[in-house]
Amino acid sequence: MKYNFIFIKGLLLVCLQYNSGFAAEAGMPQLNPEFWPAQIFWLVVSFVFLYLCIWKFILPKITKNIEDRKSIIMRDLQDAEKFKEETTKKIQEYNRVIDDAKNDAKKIILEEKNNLEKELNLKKQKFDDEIDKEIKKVENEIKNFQLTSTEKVNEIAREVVNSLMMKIVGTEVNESNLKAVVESSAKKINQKQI
Amino acid sequence: MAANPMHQFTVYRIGPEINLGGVDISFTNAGLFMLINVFLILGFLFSAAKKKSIVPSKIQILSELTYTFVAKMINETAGSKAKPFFPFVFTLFMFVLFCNMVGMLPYAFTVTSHIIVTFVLAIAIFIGVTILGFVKHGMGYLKLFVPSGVPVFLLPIIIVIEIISYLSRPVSLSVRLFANMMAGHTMLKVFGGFVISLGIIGGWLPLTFSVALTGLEILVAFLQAYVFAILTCIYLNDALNLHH
Repeated sequence: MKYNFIFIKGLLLVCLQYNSGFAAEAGMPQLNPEFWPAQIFWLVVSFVFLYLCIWKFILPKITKNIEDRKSIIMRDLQDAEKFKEETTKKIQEYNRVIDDAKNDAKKIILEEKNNLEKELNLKKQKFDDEIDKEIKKVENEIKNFQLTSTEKVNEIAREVVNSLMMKIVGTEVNESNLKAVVESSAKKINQKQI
Repeated sequence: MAANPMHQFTVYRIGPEINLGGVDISFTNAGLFMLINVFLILGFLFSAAKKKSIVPSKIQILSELTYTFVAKMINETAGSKAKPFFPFVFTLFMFVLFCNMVGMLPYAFTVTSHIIVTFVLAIAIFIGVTILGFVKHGMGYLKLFVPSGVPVFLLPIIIVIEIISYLSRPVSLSVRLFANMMAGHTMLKVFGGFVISLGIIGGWLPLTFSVALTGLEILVAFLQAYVFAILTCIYLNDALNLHH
């Protein structure tokens, strides 16, 4: 209670002081003409000084800055556009070169394939011919061998028969008879085999 | 008396009394803050203008933003003919904006809260625009007071109304800025006083108001600078492109 009372008393005191202060200096200092000439003078001085500085030094610089920036950005944009076009052109050229190279490669592969096939065929032909020749040669050899071998076999048979006859009968058999007998029996054997 | 809300507007002499032909032009706190504002503006703009970088720094962006903002404003309201007046409108906007904004700092003096300052600016604009109008259009500038498409019998009244409205331009222009600044700062001071007088228990409410009012006053500071500059552009437009 006591503290509350002191607070209210203090508040009242402050308000009183505030009001008395307000009353003492009532009115608007703006309407006091004492310092009007001084204010006008310093306003004119400072404003004119500011105007001259801004007009002569600052605005040209800011204008130049802004315009320079604008022109640089415009130039950069134009450059970028140009580079873009060049890039597109280069890419097209690159694709064309790649396509050409692919076509060339295909052509070369086809050509080589044909050449190889041709060569292969030629070699095959040659080889076949050689084989045929060899086969024929071997066949001939076999034939010859067959012919000569029967003759030799007949001769051996004749000799064997002759010597057998010599041992069994003790006489020599006529050559021509012997030959005829051996040949006829050889023929029979051959026919049987066939 | 710190509690007097009008005390902040008091102008007092700093240094010796200077007399020029019997006129007291002593350096005052108002003069000091005018110069502080001028050097702040110049410092801000110079630091932004000295560098030439493709990617601008933060301060450069800010200054270029202000530049394009004013350029756009003058171009949209007064057209391309007003281009030679761009430095003036830019200076005016920056000066009023900085005076308003610096005034928002504690213990700072608000130059634009004095009717004499705003009135000198407004009357200079008014006289300049009127001279410009007569130079551009000769006596044809008087057509400004005769709106087209008005019935003849209404003309005497309309012309009088137009002349009065034209002559009241400097008053409305200056009083608008001065009243806004003074009212805002007085209100801030009054609420600040309430915070002190109500103490730690009841002071929170006016303190909240003070915070909100400070935000509002910053907005008003910008808005009034903008309004001052755009009205100048509109007056310039009347003088350059006579529409009536």
